[in-house]
Amino acid sequence: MRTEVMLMIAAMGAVTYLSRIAGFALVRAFGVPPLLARWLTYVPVGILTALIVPALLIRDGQLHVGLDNHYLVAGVIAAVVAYKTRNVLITVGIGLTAIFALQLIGGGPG
Amino acid sequence: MGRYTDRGGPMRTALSHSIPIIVGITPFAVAYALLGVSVGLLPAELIAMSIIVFAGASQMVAVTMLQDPAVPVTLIIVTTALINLRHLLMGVSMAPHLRGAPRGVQAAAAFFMIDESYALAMNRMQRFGFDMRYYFTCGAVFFFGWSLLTGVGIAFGRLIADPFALPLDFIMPATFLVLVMPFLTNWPSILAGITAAVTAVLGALFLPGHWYIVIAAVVAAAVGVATEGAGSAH
Repeated sequence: MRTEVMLMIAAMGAVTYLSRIAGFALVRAFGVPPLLARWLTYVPVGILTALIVPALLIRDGQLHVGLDNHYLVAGVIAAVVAYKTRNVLITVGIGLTAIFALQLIGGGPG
Repeated sequence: MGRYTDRGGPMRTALSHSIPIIVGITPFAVAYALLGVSVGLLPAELIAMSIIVFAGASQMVAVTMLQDPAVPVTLIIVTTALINLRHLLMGVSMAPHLRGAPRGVQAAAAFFMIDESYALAMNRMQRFGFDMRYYFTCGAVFFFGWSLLTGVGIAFGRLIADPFALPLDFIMPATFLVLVMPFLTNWPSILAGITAAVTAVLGALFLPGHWYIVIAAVVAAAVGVATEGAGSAH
């Protein structure tokens, strides 16, 4: 292991851990007023949705809404499967299968 | 995942929820390992990064940036910090549920907080309250799984088949689709979700980096609070 690489890794680890502990430290220091507590109940929905929707709708930096966006079509199928099954393996499996099928039908990566 | 039932106790349930997700993470670990080796990082360094940083997206971006020798290390560290900004918000939303816990337990909980462990724990909390054993079991599965899979990727990556042939950037969104569903049980949450979707897409299109995740969550949660009671009026 090289010192300069390990220093970089240590610094990456430090900023990452700081980002993870900061929220805990803030709550410890200032508590959670009732309005903030209500607001916080919607944070998981917000973060998860933000991790999902742009990944399906934005391809190569462009908004891509249409049947030729394979990620979007497969994503809609996966959403239905997710709603019905609540099962990660089935949802990801059917979603990936949909993408491969669309690539076969439509040609080229979507 | 069995509709979030709780047969066999919280730890067994945690295993049955987190192991399928780590299966989906496997191609990322292999991709990270192969990319890391190709930019000249040593196996020990790649595994050390998985153990010390424990943040898949940041690690992937870091090894990608290392492909260009002109990129300064400080830029890699700043980029890591920016990608991880959402953890601040996740921490604030999880911390109230661990307020009675000792400082050391909170510090450990923070270390294990990744998108997946956070999503699982907050999901389960809706039905069973926040459960330390469940959360730390998920965290341990992801932590040891990620480090182990990094090693597997380095050792056997080239034999496993090309992980880049998989639509890698589809697997995690599809996983999170399952994890977001249980939250969408009332109108404020659904409206918050729609708001997050629109805000995140606009943010991802027009703002640099990963700011869109934090901004979307902040705006969406405000819409959630503002629309509370709107559903009961009908």
